[in-house]
Amino acid sequence: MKTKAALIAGTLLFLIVVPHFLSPYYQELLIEVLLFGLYCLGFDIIFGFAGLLNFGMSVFFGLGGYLVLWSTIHLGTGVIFSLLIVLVVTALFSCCYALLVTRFKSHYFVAFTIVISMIFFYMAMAARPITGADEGLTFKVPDLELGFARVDLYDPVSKYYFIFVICIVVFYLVWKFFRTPYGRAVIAVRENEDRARMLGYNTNRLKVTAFTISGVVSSLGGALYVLHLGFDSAHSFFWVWTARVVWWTIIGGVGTLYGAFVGPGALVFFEDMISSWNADLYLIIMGIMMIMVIILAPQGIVGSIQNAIAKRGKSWPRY
Amino acid sequence: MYSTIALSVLNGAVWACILAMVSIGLTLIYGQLEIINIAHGAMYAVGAVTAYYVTSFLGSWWYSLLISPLLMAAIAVAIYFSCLKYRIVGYPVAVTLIISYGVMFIVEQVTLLIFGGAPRLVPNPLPYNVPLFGGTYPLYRIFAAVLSLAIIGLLVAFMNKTKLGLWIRATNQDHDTARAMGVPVPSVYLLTFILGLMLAALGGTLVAPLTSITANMGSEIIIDAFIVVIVAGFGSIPGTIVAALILSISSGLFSVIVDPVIAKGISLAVMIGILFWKPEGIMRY
Repeated sequence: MKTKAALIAGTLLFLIVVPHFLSPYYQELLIEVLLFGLYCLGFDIIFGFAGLLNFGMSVFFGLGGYLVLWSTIHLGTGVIFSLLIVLVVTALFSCCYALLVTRFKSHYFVAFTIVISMIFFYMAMAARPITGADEGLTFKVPDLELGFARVDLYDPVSKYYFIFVICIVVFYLVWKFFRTPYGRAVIAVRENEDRARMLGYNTNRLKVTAFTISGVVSSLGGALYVLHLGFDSAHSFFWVWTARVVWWTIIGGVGTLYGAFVGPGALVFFEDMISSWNADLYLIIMGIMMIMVIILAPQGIVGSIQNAIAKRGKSWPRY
Repeated sequence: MYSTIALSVLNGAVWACILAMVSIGLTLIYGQLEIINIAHGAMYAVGAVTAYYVTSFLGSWWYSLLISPLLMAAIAVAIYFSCLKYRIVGYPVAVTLIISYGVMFIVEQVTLLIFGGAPRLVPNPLPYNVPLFGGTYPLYRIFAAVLSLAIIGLLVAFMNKTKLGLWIRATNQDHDTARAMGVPVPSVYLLTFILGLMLAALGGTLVAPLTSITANMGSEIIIDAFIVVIVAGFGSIPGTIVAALILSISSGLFSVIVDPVIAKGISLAVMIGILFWKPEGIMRY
């Protein structure tokens, strides 16, 4: 217990101190790690904890991003208020989406979410005046108004701290949620849905709840990504973003909340290294890595470490 | 107006035949190996690129009808023995999804490195027009539709009339019992995988003279093929043909009225509607 607390404190301290020792380029990469970590956290909730493989996560990523962009451009809202709009709207949206989609089981669920995400992509591409289609829209990121201070979000270090705080808060809330009886019941649905229903849980409502939380967290990741870039295009709805989140989360370790941040942490830097070394071979190397990792270490980084500590040997994660 | 609508329906039907062939490849692989094969579109692109090279080196597009399925069979064997052999039945869908995603990365990038980024064209092997609906219609399109229907017919005959086809159907129903009855299940998996990818490559080869060929042309068809397979109900061949017809013809018809991208969106929404009406697939009762 003591080592665990020390480990958490050490990691937090490291994350607070580290941007001061990096060049601006790596500061930007570190910000991306946090953003993508948040996005992966959303996916981890629905896939790792509720056991539903949502292969249409790009819907939330794109939606969160565009909500921030639209509210900043058209309503002239500040950063905090835009993020609140994102939270409310995506909560409503993902709740409705969940009510539709949780009717489907296993492979139909996977397939249905793929189709929905493709429809969103086509709509975003078609609505050029609103979304800017593939050229996208740029906007000026407003300063962060904190009452006592104004923070310039174009400065990487202050942007890093802003996003870091949000990540910590969201992570804590999600972590806490899965330690409440209600959160435990969500995990019970993953383990055995029929048994959970026999025990008297309303499994459909549990799934809808998990789906909604997942949608809100992922949208927040997308929204912060757009604030980070000051730009969004219809490609944020493209299914590549779904594939990325699945891949990052699996590398980090499915079903472990830390894994959602470890995956992007390892891969954003790794991908950057390879693509600057040889851009032509980049995708080939990534493909080979994917196949090797999923065959040799399917638990991901965090899962492998946990297994090594517990000396349980190699066990398959419950995908 | 009448002939415009008739032509767009006909264009949709031609495209539907090719799409149905590619989707049947996808549904075969899914039904047998439980792999949602994202790499299917990349294989389709490989088929088209092979057609381009065969045409430029051997002088005639017709050879590619034989060469591209054979090449694809070799690729299928390579993929099967390197990645899929130990990770097929009983593994969670996410594992096979990631594997096929990795395969897609590799195949697409290798194709891009060989072929280059610029779109290229294959000359039409049947440069004739036939009179139709008061206008003319390219003969090649009709040929492509008929050939893909013929290939689907051959496949159905193969599945229903031969011993290998019986093995495939038996493994599809229950692989444990099939194994107990002496069916060489791993070989059946390999055979199905080869057949499925060959259909994708043939689709690409047939489309090559119709459009400009690019290394990443697969990402367009893979979505359509996915939707067709889902709406058809995984594993149903007649359902796949019907679903492909609905998708292509409706998007063709809507594009007479509105912008093609919006038409695409509307036809996808139609498919979603069908999915809600019959979540198990249109041809299941």
